[in-house]
Amino acid sequence: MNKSYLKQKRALAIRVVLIQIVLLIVLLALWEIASRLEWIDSFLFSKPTSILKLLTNYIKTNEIYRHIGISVLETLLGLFIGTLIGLFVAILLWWNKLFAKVMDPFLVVGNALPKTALAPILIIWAGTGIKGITTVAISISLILTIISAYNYFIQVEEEKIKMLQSFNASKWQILIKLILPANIANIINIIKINIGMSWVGVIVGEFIVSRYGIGYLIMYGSQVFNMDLVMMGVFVLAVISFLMYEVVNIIEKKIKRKRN
Amino acid sequence: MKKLELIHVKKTFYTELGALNVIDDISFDINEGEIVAIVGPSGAGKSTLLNIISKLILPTSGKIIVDGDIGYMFQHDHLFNWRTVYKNILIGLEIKKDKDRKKVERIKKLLTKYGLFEFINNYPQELSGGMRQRIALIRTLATEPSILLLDEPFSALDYQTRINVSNDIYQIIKDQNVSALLVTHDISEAISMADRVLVLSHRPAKLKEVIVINDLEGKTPLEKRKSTKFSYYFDKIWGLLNE
Repeated sequence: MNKSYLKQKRALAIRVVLIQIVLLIVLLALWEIASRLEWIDSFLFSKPTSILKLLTNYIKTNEIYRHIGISVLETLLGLFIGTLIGLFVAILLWWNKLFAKVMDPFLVVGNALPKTALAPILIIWAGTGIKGITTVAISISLILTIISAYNYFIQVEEEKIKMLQSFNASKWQILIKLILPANIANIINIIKINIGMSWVGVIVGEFIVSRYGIGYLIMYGSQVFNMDLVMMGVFVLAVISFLMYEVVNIIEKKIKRKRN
Repeated sequence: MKKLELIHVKKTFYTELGALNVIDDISFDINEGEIVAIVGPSGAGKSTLLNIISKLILPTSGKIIVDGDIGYMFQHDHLFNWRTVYKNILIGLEIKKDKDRKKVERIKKLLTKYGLFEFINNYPQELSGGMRQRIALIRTLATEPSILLLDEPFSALDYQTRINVSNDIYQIIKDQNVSALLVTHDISEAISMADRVLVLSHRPAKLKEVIVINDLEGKTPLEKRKSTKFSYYFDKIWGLLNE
């Protein structure tokens, strides 16, 4: 009974993946055909085969790795620094109610403000290159990390805290024995969201000023009207951000398995 | 020997709506090895009383004398699902930085005695509600408190489990010879477990009456429930609560 249920579940999962692959191939084929038969302007819309050709060229000359390397480095730096500072500030807010109350309106405004508007200034302040772009990436994920982590922290059941207090637990002990472990899954979710945020910051930063990186490729391609290059940049970006997301997913699954 | 003593305890809360008199002059004490139950209408201030005894809030006036440490048991077990049963039980000693071999041995003995030892490497989410509540009690007992505060500890359990678990927990408390203050809204539970039942009035809470329960036949709460005098006590408390 159970076996056949599991079998059914597996069959469904395989079917979903198959349909997804077919869907992708059909879309790419349609794009290619439409472009070749000139239903759409291949100069403006490019086509999969020319994107692939360009990509193979970039891979052959090793040119692509330099761009990917620098963008990934900036994204990871933005992700780690943004998440760590964000969690740290969230802990401070949880620790001190007065501080949380004082910071509240600033955080609300900071959250509502489109951070990309600050990008040009941040780059002028922090300098061009990795420093400036990482700063932009941090700025985009930071406020949201603070707000959501703080909200998760204060949602931990009051009575659980009371239970620890009945053993005379210090605030520090409540933090490391309850608040943080209770929120591991939420922190992983924050990291997942921050991967996307950090990429936004890196691409925007590279649009503004850069000589390497995926954002640079896309910007440069659009300026010289090379749509193959723009599309290739977007494609590479999609693949890499998916891979980063998957890495976090695997870590999450490992932690969950350990807990069950 | 008195393990807990309340002397003329009063509590007034101040809110935007004015002063709210919650507890009005309550005095009682609990002797070593004694279980005392508090029953009262909902909103009477039972939780406030427990919070005052456990020093989470201060009384407006009056005195609380506690001999030794307080152990607190809640309606929910509050076991951490990222810790094994064993690690959950050790959390109190861990916090007090008081984990030595003698204490760990004692805990292992308790676990063996109450049939929980085989589950020490399980996670709480793998166990039943009744078992989890027993583990929560062992967690509380691990730091060797001299008085237990039981805050509606069975009300989250279904009826059958509730009776079984209250039976077991009664045994554990009596075996270990700790004193306990049981807050409950379940009159039967109070009568079957306690040596004395304190009946509170409506807010502001006063001690309406103290009922000594000393002539029920049977040794366990389950047996006491079948005692012929049980309904006498039930009717008496019921009457007091509905006055």
